[in-house]
Amino acid sequence: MVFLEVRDLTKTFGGLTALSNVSFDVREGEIFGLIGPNGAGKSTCFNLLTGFYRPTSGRVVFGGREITYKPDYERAGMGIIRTFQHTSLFSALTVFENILIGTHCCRNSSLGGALFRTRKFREDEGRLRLKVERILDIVGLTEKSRLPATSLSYGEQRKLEIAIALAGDPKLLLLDEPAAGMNPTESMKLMDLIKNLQSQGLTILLVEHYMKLVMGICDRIVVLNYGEKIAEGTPREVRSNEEVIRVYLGSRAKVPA
Amino acid sequence: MKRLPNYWLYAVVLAVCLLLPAIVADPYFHSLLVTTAIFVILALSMDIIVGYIGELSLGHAAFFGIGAYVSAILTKTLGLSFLTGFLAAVVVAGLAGCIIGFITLRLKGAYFAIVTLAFAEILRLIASNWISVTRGPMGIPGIPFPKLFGFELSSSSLYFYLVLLVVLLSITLIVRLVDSPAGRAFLAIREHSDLARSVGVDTFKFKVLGFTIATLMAAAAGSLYAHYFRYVGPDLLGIYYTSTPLLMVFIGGRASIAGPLVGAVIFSILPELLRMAGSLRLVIFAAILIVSVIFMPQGIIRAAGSLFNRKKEEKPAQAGVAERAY
Amino acid sequence: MGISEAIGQQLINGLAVGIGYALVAVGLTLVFGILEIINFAHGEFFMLGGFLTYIVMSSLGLTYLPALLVAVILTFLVGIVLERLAVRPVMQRDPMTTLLITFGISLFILHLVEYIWGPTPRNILTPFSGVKNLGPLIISEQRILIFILGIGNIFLLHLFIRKTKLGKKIRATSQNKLAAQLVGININSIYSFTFGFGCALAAISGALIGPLSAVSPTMGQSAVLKSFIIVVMGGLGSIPGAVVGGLFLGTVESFTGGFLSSAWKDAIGFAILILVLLLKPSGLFGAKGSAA
Repeated sequence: MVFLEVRDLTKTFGGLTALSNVSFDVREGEIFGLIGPNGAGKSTCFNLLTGFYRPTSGRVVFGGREITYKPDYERAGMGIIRTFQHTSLFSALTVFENILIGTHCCRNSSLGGALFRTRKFREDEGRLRLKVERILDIVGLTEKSRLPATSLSYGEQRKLEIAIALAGDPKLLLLDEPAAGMNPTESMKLMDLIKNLQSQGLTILLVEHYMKLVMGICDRIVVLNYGEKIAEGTPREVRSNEEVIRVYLGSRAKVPA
Repeated sequence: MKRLPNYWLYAVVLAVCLLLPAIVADPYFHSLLVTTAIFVILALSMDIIVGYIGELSLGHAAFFGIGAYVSAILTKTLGLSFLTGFLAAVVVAGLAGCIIGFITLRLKGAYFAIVTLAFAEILRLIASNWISVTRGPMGIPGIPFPKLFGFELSSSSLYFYLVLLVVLLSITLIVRLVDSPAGRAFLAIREHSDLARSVGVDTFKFKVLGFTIATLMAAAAGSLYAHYFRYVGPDLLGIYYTSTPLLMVFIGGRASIAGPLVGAVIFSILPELLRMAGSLRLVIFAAILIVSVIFMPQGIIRAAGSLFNRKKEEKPAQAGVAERAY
Repeated sequence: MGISEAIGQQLINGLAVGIGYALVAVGLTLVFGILEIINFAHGEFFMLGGFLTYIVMSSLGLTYLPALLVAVILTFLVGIVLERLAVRPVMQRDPMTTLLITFGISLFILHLVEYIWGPTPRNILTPFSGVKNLGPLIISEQRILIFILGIGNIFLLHLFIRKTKLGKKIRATSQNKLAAQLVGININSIYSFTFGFGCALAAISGALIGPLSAVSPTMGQSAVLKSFIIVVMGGLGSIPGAVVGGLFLGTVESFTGGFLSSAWKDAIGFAILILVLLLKPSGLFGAKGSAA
C-alpha cells in the first residue's frame, strides 16, 4: 500500500539543481533507505520531505493527502516526524522534559485550560506524561529520565532524539543519518531499535551512509547520484546494480553486504 | 515543567509582604514597597520574552508606557473608572504587542531588538508631540486614585496590597504558563528552534503569543505606576523602563520566578543604599550589567543555588541547569 | 524662494547630513562585517566624538579641527579598550549575550558622560559658521566641511581597505577567520583595531554633525537608531550600502523636515525601517547576514 508518494521532486538553488525529477514510493510498514554518494541530493530530498525546503516542482503525497508545500511544523501533526543529522536536543532540559516536548502535536488542551488548570488540562498532562514514561521504556532511558540531556553518552543522545520523535505518535519516521558517529556496537543496537519500531507499526525512511545498517534492515532502497535516481529496489537488487556499483566504487567492485 | 515548588518559602515570603506595611510604619518605606512591587511585575514580564522565549526586546518600555498613558487618559481625561482604565490599558498594549510581535518576530534576533527599540522611540516621539491627547512633554498630572468598590486607595500601604495582588496574579500566570504545552513550546523554541518545529511547534505563533502575554503584563505595571505617581510623561517610554527590568532579569536569573523577583528587590533597594546622583547610579548599574553578563550569565539565583548544592552530598541527578528556580 | 530652489536647498542640506550619516553607518557595518556583532553602543561613540570635541575645546582651548582630531583618537582608544575588556570575553557566546553587552556598554558610556559633564546640551563654536552661496542656494560652511571630510574619509577608507597591508588583513579576516589565522594574522588584534576604527568613524561623524545643532549626552540614542535604519536598508556588512543608505536617509529627512514638519523628520526614518523590514528583510543590497 502506498504510504508516501514522491513524484518528480525537483529542487534548484539559484543555478544549481540539487534534485532532479526524483520519484519513488514508500509502502506502509516498510523500512525505506535513501542512499547515494556525497552531494547526491539525499539531504535535499530529505529536507523536501520534511518541509524544511519548498520544492521547485514536483509533488509529495502522504496517505492520500498532498503535502508538497506544507510547512515543516505542520507535518508532525499529520504523522511525519524527522530526526536531525547533528545531535539535536533541548540541552538545558532533562531527558524527560525533552521527550515531553515531543508530545506537543498530540496535546489535547488549550491555553485557557492551562491558565485555569481545568480538569481536562490536568488529565491531558497526565496522559502525556504517561506516554513519556512508555517511550522512555521503549528506548531504554528510564533510569536517566531526570538527568540533563547533555549528560547522556553520544549513543544515548541519539536514542533520545528518536524518543523525542516517537513522542509525537508518528506514522512515518524520517531518520537523518541515525548511525552517524556510532561505533559498531551502538549501530547494532540502533538496528534492533529500528526493527522494533517497525514491528510496532511505524513506517521508516532513513538517509544513511553506513551500508551495513542500510543493507541489514531496509526493505527497499532508492539510490541517488547527482540529484537523480539511479536505482530502486530491494537491498539485493541494489547491491548488484551495475550503475550503483560504478558510482560508489568504480567498476568491477561489489557493494559490501 | 513540573518541579516541586518551594511552597513553604513562598508562603513565608508572602506572609512577610502582607505584614511589612504594618511592621514598618514609615510612609517612605511603603512607597518603596510599591515601586519595588511594580518593578517585580515589569521584570517578570521582561523575563517572559528574554528568559522563556529567548529574544531581546529593547522596546519593552513602549508597552509599560502604553499601559500608563491609556490608564491616565481614560481615567483623568475621560473620567472612567480605575478598573476600566486598567483593563483597557492591558488590552490596548496586548493588541499593540500582538501586532508588533507579528511584524517583527520573524526577524532574526538583532533586527528584532532594533525594531523594538525603534518602536519605543516612535511612541516616545508621539507622546512628546501629540499635545492634544498626551499634553506632550508636560505629561498628564492629577491622575485620580484608584477606586475599588467605592473605596479610594490613597495610602501607599493599601496601594501596595493592590500591586501585590497583581504580582500574585502575574506569578500564577507565569507558573501555569510554563508548566503547560505553551510554556514548553517557549523553551523548545529558545533551545532549538528547528527541533521544536520538527515536533509540531509553530515557532512563530508561540513567539507572538509569549510576546503578547509579556506586553499585557508590562501594561499592567504601567497602569499601576500611573495611578500611584498620578502623573505620566514621555519619560515612561524611555530607555530606563527597558534597561531596568532587563538588568533585574539578567542579574536575578532568567527563566525563573525568583530571578526577576530578587533582581527587582535588589535594584529597587540599591538606589536607596547608594544615595548619589542619579547618573552615577545608572553608571554603576550599567557596569554591574556588563560584569554580570560576562562572569555570571546564569544570574544570582542559579549561582547561589549551585554554590549551595556543592555543599550538599553529591546527588547524581541534580539538573542544575534545568532547575526551574521556583 | 521658488519650489525648485526649495527642493535644491533641502537636497543640499540633506546630502551633507547624509554623508555624516553614511560615516556612522559605515562604522557600524564594518564592525558587523568583521566581528559579526551588532554594536548597540555605536551611537555613544558618535556622541563621544561630538561631546569630547566640545570638552577638548573648552578645557584645553584647542580650536575646532585639532579638537576633533583629539576627540576621534580618544574615542578610537576607548573603543579598543572596551572591545578588549567587555566584548571579546563574550564574542563566542550566543547572539543575545553580545547584544546585551553592547547595550550595557551604551548605557555605561551614556550615563558616565551624563554624570561627569551633566545632561545639558552644549554648542560647539566652529570657525565654519558662515554660509556660502551656490547660486540661489545657501549652504553653511559646516555642511561644506562635512561634505569634504565625509567624502574624503570614505575615499581614504576605501584606499585603506583595498591597498594597505592592514586593510588586506581585515578583509581576509572577514572572509575566512580560520584561514586568516592559519596564515599568521592575529585575529584578536584585527578585532580590536576594527572595533576601534568603527568607533572612530562614528566619532568623526559626531564631531562633524554636532555643531549643526548641539551636542548632548543623549545625542547618540537617535544616532544609533539611524545607523541601524541605514544599515538595514543597505544590507549588514555592505559598505557601499551604508553610504547610499546614509545619503538617502539624510535627504529624505531633510525633505520631510522642510516640507512637512520637524516632528516628522525624526519619525520618517523609523517608518522607512519598518517598511524595509516588512518588504525585504535582507536589506536593499542584501549583503551578508540576512534578517530572516
